[in-house]
Amino acid sequence: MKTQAICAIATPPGSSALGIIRISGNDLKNLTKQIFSKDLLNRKAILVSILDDKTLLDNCISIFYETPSSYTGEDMIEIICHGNQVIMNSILSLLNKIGVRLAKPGEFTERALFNDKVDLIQAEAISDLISASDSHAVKAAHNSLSGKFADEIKMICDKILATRAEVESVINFPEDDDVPELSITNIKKSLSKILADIEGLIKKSKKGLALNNRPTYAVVGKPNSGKSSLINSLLREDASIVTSKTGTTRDSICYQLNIDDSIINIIDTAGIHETNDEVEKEGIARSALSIAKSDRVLYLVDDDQGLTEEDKNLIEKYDIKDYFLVFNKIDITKKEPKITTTKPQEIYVSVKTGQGMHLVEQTIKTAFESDNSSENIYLARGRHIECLQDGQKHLIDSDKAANEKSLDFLAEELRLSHLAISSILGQNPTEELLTEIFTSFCIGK
Amino acid sequence: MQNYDVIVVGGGHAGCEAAHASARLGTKTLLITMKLDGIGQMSCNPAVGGIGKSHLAREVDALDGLICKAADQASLQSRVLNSSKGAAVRATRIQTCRDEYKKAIQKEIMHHENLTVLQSTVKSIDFELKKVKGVILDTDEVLEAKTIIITAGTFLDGIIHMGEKTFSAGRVGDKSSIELENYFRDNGFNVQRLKTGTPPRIKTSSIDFENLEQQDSDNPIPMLSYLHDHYGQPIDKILKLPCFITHTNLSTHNIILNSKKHSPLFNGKINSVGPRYCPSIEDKVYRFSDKESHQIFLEPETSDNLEIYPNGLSTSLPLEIQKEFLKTIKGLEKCEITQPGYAIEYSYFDPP
Ligand SMILES: Cc1cc2nc3c(=O)[nH]c(=O)nc-3n(C[C@H](O)[C@H](O)[C@H](O)COP(=O)(O)OP(=O)(O)OC[C@H]3O[C@@H](n4cnc5c(N)ncnc54)[C@H](O)[C@@H]3O)c2cc1C
Ligand SMILES: Nc1nc2c(ncn2[C@@H]2O[C@H](COP(=O)(O)OP(=O)(O)OP(=O)(O)O)[C@@H](O)[C@H]2O)c(=O)[nH]1
Ligand SMILES: [Mg+2]
Repeated sequence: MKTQAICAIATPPGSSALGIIRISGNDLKNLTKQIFSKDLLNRKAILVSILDDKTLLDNCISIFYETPSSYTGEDMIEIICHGNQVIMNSILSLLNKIGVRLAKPGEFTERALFNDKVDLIQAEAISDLISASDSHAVKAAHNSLSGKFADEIKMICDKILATRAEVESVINFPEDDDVPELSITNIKKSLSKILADIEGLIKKSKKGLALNNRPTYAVVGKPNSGKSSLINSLLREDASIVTSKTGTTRDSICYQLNIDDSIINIIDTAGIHETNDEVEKEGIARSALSIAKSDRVLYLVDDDQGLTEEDKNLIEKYDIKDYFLVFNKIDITKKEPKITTTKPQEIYVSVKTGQGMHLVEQTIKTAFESDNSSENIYLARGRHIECLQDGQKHLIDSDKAANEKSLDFLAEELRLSHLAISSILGQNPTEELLTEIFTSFCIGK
Repeated sequence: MQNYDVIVVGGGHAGCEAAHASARLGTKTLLITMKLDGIGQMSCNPAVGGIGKSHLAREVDALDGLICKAADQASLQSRVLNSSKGAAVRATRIQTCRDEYKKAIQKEIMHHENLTVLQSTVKSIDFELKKVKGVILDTDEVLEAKTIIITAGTFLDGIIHMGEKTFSAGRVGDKSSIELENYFRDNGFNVQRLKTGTPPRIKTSSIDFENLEQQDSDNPIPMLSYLHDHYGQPIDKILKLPCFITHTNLSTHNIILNSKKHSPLFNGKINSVGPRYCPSIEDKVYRFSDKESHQIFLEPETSDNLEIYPNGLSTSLPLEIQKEFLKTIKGLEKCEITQPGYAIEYSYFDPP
């Protein structure tokens, strides 16, 4: 393909010790000869001067990657220069002068896709990798990138394909004695296996999606239980207003909390209880919304009052599911900090003295990791999950058709399911099906 | 010089439907074909419909085409396949009498308003400024028309293979169409080759049907055409005939396996692709060597039942070997071949 060479700054804007400029295009060595003081070497880092006519722009390390062994599949050059915006801009204008234009967003990856260096899933994963928020998301993006997600999709597609071939052969070659009779029991067995696979993959993928969207935990409880104090303590700053008055917090406020190398959203909420106060009511409605959109809840109880009937009713009323009970103010009740193994887990702390706070931090961290611990999480796109769910729906309909022994509906629903799932890989499986049928059975008169 | 709106070249299924549809639209139409008696002739198996094709036939029928009505008229055996499965996958198939079928088609084509029929061979197309102007016959006569439809079937530079022998033919007993093929090849069309094949035909009286499984028509007799009632002809006027089922066996397969070098399909003489739905018996035996037996349908060709079409035995092996392996099959021990099986290679091209 004849395309114009492109360049872009690969490091984030602002000043830094080093900045990287990438170039991709055909015949790059010749194109850029005049700007480098020395010939570049394939896959070797060498020190060169960059010259605009005779003016020295910068001394820097440059690496040449010869086509096709590069990220884009074209010739590529990486210039590692000083991370000064003025220097980098002057290098870019010099490149423009010799016919290398500025890249559009995503254009390097687009070229990699066109040159078959990556598949669609990998291209999408690369974009996720760039915007990934923490180390777990990075790991998940790498999993998609290495093709493991695609492999699982392929495996599911292969299983659907085998089932389709069985059904379609029976329909298409009713007079061929080579085609075995269809066993509905076996078909149903295969369907339930495939459905379990899809279910599992959707779960793993959804977690990936959540990773990229960042997990969100809400701190909830009756007024004055110490929610804002707890958040301030976790954030190690005076973020939320704390007073001894009930109903201090009036609005849901979302903070970013760093725990080791992970980032989570943590929401301070208005205390929930029965009230007629207009402002408070509005605040509580927002607490309810925060509960609904969070992945987990830290439910705070003033240990001096203990877990009351009112608390239990509130938990039920606001449909709080995944939650920890945090009993605060043990400095008053004179209890020891501890964590139970009950369900839900109970943590006894004093935000005021800091006793037990490490237990809260530890709990958040473990919860976060257990949500994402599996190495097999894929950073799936919303699109992937939609396709998987679509395929799942049609498989369930296939199963219904199998119950009714309507082979026509069975074949059609299987086809739709196959189409939906293989579209994740950007493939159309029709030819594959024919090949499968004709290689498994000796058919045709 | 004569002028037409539409000229159709070829009198097979495709050409007859095209010419008939064109004439029904009130367009002045000419059908040119190499042999008048070949109009409506079926090249291979005289079956119409079935799983792969009944929807196509019925679409033509929905447009008041010929094929389904003619097939109903000529039916020797009519069955609904997949009758136990869902309604969407049922398919009617008719084993016709090839003579009756041809008669039914010719009756419609030869006496149709706006439709003229001419026995001749087209050798090239006349173009003016990239627009078709007419066809040029092998006699160099030019016939003008605004639209030209080519439906040359297997005739474009058709070459028949039978063992080591090859000869030029459009199908057995018909000349191939070489000049027209060369014309397309030389004028920028992307011309490619396809192949197909047909089994030997067997004299009915030489077959022992005694111990073979019999397959009758469905009762009531299913119809392919939704329009047959409108024509008021009695459908059951020809006698129904059954088909029979027999099988190849290991002796058959051994003979075929030992003759691989004589099969043009496998000794490198034929390289073009064929439809995967019609594998030759060589194909089946070589590719599925673990199968001990293949099913063969013995199908009547005409209502007088003189010849049988052994469906499933398409082959391009030499005649001697065809004779030899046929005799290993139950019921065919004393069979006599009336017409050898063969493979044919021919040209096709995508429309411009
Ligand atoms: C050995 C063999 C095996 C086959 N097996 C099968 C099978 O199993 N299943 C199947 O579906 N099909 C089979 N076929 C294909 C068969 O040809 C088609 O099914 C069908 O007959 C094609 O119809 P048609 O109208 O396109 O062409 P045809 O029926 O081939 O008719 C072509 C017509 O064009 C005319 N013609 C050609 N060139 C010229 C010219 N230059 N000038 C004037 N007239 C010309 C011929 O005279 C002929 O009338 C087989 C064919 C052969 C020969
Ligand atoms: N003794 C003691 N007091 C605490 C502790 N944690 C918080 N408090 C006090 O409890 C009062 C309420 O704390 P907040 O953090 O404002 O409570 P809140 O749950 O955010 O209250 P609302 O926003 O009104 O719902 C303040 O006076 C805090 O100083 C604790 O561990 N021990
Ligand atoms: Mg508060």
